[in-house]
Amino acid sequence: MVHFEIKGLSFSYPNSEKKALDNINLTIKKGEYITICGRSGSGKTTLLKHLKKPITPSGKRTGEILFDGAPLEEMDLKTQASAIGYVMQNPDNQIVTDKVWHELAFGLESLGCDTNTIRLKVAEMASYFGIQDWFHKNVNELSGGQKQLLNLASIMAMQPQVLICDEPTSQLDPIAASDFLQTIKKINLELGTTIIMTEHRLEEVFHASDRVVVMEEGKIIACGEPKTVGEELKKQNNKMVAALPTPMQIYYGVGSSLQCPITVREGRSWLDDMLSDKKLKRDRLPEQDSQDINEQAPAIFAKELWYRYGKNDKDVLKGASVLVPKGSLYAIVGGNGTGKSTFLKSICGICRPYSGKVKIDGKNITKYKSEELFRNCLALLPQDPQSLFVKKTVREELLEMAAGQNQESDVMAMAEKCELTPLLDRHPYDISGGEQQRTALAKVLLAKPKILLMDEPTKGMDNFFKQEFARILKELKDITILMVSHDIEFCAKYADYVSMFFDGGIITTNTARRFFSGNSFYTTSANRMSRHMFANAVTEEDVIELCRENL
Amino acid sequence: MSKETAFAQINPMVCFIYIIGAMALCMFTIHPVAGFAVLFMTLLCYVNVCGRVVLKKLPLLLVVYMILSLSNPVFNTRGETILFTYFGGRPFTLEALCYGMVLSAMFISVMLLFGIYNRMMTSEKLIYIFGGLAPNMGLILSMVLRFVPHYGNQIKKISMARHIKEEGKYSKVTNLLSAMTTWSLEAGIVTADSMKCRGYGCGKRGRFSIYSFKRKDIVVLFLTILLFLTVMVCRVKGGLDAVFIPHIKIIGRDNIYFVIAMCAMVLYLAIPIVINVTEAVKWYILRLKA
Repeated sequence: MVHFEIKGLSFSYPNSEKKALDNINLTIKKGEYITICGRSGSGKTTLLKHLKKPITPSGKRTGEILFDGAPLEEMDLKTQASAIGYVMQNPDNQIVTDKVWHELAFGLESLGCDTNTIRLKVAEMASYFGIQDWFHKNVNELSGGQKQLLNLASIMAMQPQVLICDEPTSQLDPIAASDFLQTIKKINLELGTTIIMTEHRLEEVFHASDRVVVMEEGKIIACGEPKTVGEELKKQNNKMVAALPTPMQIYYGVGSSLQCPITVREGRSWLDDMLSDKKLKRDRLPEQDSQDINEQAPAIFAKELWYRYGKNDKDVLKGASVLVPKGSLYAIVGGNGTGKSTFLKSICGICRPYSGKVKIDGKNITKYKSEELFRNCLALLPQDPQSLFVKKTVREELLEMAAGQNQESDVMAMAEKCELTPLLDRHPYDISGGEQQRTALAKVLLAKPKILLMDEPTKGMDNFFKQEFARILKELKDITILMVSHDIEFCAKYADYVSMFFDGGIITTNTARRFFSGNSFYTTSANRMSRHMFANAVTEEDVIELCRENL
Repeated sequence: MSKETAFAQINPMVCFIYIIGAMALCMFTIHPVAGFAVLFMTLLCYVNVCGRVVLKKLPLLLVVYMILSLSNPVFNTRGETILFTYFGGRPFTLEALCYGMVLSAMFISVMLLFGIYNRMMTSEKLIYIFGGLAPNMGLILSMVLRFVPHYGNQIKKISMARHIKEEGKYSKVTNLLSAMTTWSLEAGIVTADSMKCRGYGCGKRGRFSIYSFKRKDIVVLFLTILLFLTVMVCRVKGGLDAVFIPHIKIIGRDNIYFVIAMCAMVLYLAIPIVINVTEAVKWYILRLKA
């Protein structure tokens, strides 16, 4: 049974020559799980918005969309509200009311259901999604993951036939994201709801999808089962290969005639099959001889910080210490709510620890005057780039931070470096998420810091932008970077040192390679896939290199 | 929030009517015996509903009570029995003092009732009560209650991000305001989209609440109305009459209406205590049996 049929859909936004969607033809069957991927700005969101009438953007449009055989435009508001569910990216702004139970009932109230029907459906949904425990809570007490789950549940309460999700996990931490995606899969398997999703964590959704659609510049460039899509992309030599799950990337990097693996499990047996009859010539990569971390000149030195938010609260930091060597990229990883972000805040003086000391560049932080500390010394890139924006254009935004005589030229040079030059006259809220992140970074860098602190910098970035971001960071010479992150793959690739943060303190610190090859759960997919063969391969490149040498 | 008491679990509408009724009773009572009985009962009620922590506030209440009582004769000099004079002959009368004591008892009772009201009527209960009268009003109230902490959060985030830039107090506030305006418009669009996606405005709205009318609620409502009316009838019949000035004249035990009114009043104010205590006793017995 066909659910959605998109025929020759083209669309361009008003005052724009460029086609945001270019001759899209796609048929979606009932009960299918479809993942749409592509770089940011490739038209994924625009396409999804066309499937939901009330939020379809206005502009020039040709072609047609059929839902259940009838044109989508002719469907009345009430039917489409309940039949097509739409979950958006931002978990916070989608929530309408103040209580969890009210939010669950909101859609049904709008449809005009009577109290008893609503009561039953709300109860059903709360039980299905495991919401009972926080059913009476205020929505602002929930974590990001719970908020997004609530958004999903309140849409599922209307019993939609199709569920459309627009990058639903981009603002969540990995564990919450994986929970969310598993719930989606469960809905698909148990209720037969059609799922149409855009996502950049392909690792998590690739194996679960029935079909994958790859978009580029408003066109569909590949569409089919996950394996064939990989093949197709490889054939086109498309950049999107870099976004594929790790096992697929390694597979295409090595080049093998066996079946393409998608999950880590398949990747392990693929490695086994490929290297089974060969004696391993080399099973480890050389460790770079790094100086002992404690002997290097520290840019940041924090000793036994203790901190709590209120007099009667529990300690968040329990004697946390760190030594960040000058010029290094230092990453702190760890679970949610362990106090990582608080640690970062106490290092830059936003939170005052009640015990312990922080030395920035060898000088105690309390001896700095506030303007001295933040001028040419320390800068913090917040998690949400939007919280840095106060002006009308990107240019003004950057000018605000630049100081001195060559203000203009500084801004232009920085814009060039972060590839913002064409965006200088746009409003900072009108550019894409990745571009906002770059603007925020440029703005922070214009203060010419010697030390840059970053809180979850890669949250919500797609793989390409991560590479670009890493390139910008690498080009910043003589800057010490301390970042707190959930993004294991990013830390493994680019960080010099990695620390594990747990229960209010740093448990262990090591170079990225030693750190991740020593862990067995908290490590990269490449390492999990290859640890039974190779001793210390942590990135895709490592595994590919070792495979090639042994073949 | 701590666990709700049994009384807090009755239907908010009943609870609301009850508290408004109790306030009305207090305010119409100038009979000294009744007044002090009401004060005593509301105090018991307050402690029962809000927990023993509030006992710490008692000394403060006592001070307020003394000040209010003693200040009445200062402004009101009428009355037959002059206790003493001051400021060259300004009288301080016994009648005015008694009147002041009764009035302040009433005042304190109403204050305590407001305390109980605050504890009982959470925002969602208010929305339930007024949402019945105007469904959209209820939704708007709920959205406002959602936005206040949501905006507060964003203000915190922005001012934290602004740490990197030193600026004057004035420009700090204007920048924050401008950033908040942009952000809230942007966030508002998303919220509006989300509402539209979930069918807002496609017809008459249904109404859902987590409260329902149970037998217990009906019993309490019935008792509330019955006792309230009894007191009112007795009052009209003169059972609670009291005159202080020029000399004290109050209705006593020999008047049947006075006796009935007193009983009804005490019973009325004992309702929350009775509910809470029976619940506790029930638990105790159940646990004994187990």
